[in-house]
Amino acid sequence: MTSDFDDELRAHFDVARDADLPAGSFDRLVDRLDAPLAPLRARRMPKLLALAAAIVLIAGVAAVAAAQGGGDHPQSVHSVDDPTSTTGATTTSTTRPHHTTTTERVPGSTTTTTPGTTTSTTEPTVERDGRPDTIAAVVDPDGDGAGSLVVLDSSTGKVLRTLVADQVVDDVDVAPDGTIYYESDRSVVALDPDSGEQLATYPHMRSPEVSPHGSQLASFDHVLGTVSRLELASRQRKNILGDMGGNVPGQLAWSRDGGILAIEDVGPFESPDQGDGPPSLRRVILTDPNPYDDQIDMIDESFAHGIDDAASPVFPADGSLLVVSDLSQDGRHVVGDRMDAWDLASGQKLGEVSVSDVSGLDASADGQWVIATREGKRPHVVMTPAAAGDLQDLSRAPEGIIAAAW
Amino acid sequence: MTGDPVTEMFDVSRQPSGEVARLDAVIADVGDETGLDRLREVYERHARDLFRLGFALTGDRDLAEDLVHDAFVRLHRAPTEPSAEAMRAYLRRIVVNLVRDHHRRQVVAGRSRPEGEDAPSAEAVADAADRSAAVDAAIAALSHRQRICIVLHYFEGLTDAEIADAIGISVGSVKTHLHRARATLARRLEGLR
Repeated sequence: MTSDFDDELRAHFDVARDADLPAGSFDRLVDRLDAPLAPLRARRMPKLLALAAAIVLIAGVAAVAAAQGGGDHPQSVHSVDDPTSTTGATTTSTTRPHHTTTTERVPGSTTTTTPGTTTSTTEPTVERDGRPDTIAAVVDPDGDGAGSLVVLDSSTGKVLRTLVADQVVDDVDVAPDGTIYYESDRSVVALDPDSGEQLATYPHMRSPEVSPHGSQLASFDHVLGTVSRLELASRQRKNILGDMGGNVPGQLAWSRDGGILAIEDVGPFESPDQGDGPPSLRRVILTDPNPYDDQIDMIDESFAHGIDDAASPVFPADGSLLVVSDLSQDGRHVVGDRMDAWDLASGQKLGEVSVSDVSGLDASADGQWVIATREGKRPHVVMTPAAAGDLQDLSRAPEGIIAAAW
Repeated sequence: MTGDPVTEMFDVSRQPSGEVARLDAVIADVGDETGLDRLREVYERHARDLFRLGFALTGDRDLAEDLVHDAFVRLHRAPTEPSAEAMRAYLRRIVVNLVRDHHRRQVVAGRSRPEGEDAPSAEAVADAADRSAAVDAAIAALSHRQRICIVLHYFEGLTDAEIADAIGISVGSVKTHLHRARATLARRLEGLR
């Protein structure tokens, strides 16, 4: 290319270089910032009306709490008219019905009655509703990096067994055959949950995520800065995503058919190691697990540039993509106050669920249930049927859960 | 700010008779706490350059101002602020992301062509009234990512690594996009030389 051509292209942008902001631009920005306060202004109601509204509100909350035995938190699912609207365009809210209970077990779930169980439960039998019996969780109660890998009862959160104690454990995933893959000191370890035997160690790997059929392990190579997938049988590795330009991946998630790998893309101003900086650069990108080269190979034009302000992707059974959004920083962690469902076919947002300080998500093997880890002073695990909005606290879960999977 | 404004609004015992004035005071407190002075300082330092970048990327002054406002709204709502050294790159990246989102929305809404498809023909470019308009048309016909790479390289003067950082792709991809974009532009403008 000639330098004259380069000079011409540089000179072509002189018009933009001379452009100036219109007068009053900052004032218009302030007007924009005031917009979220408009609902407050609109609620300038007489005292009696305000009091009546408060009474109704309190009575409604009490009624719902009583109906749910005081332990559940009803969540509203909002329909969104305009998927591209920055305001969400929320128009209606509908309380989802509770799931009916059943004793059916879910394929791929681990069992609570395996040999080697170190803690026996004396809890009364809890009626199951289709969810897997147990959850693998990483617990770091002091937040000092030394944690444990435990198995929890999926109904109460009670710790059934401790598989790994007092080690650096950061992330966990459960394969369809029950094998547990956990991240420890920047390596991924495969563990037989029944015997406690370490089956394999994969150095330099983080954020393990096993494919739906259990044949491949996706992870982040923190030395090469790449996302790759490992054929577990042949041990062959294939790069899915090359150098991410200073970004690092957070949580990974396979689609139900294994045809898409969702990657939480953490911007260069905020890495999991640094834990500082604005979280607004977090996004979820969708990639082809079988790219023709090691460059980003997006799935669809609708998602070609990812979903901004989103984290913790999972793929529920209904074929949608679920992400945590409305992110903010909570100590070392980035948490969200909303879960958004996206339609993979159209690239449009389907709806949203209000949550509170949620971070990691993980879908059950059948995709019917999603765990959401809640951060804060008393972190705990909540669950939601993937197709509905009810969140259920695990009242007996230990404090300091930083990751969970089933 | 004296407390949660919504809670206080429902606290009848604390509401003076001038209820509207009371609510306005609460709102004003919210505004004070969010640091408008700091925002103004950052705005005065960076907004003009961001506006010019937005204009270079979109060719639309109104849209460019909206993008700048969107970027500062995000900055304003972020719980922590990047360092002074990182601020410019941070805001630049937000603007680039917003332009990308704008492009995506247009594609989804069917108001714009997907990347690499339906590009104006060389004849259409050649029909442009003058050389500058032809360059405009040729740049507009590039894929979205190629166009961003061209603007960040020739307008912002960024290195390949800085471009990669701004748009979240590898340096190798930036080189590829720039090479292909230059070749495409040269080919489309060749007849006008």
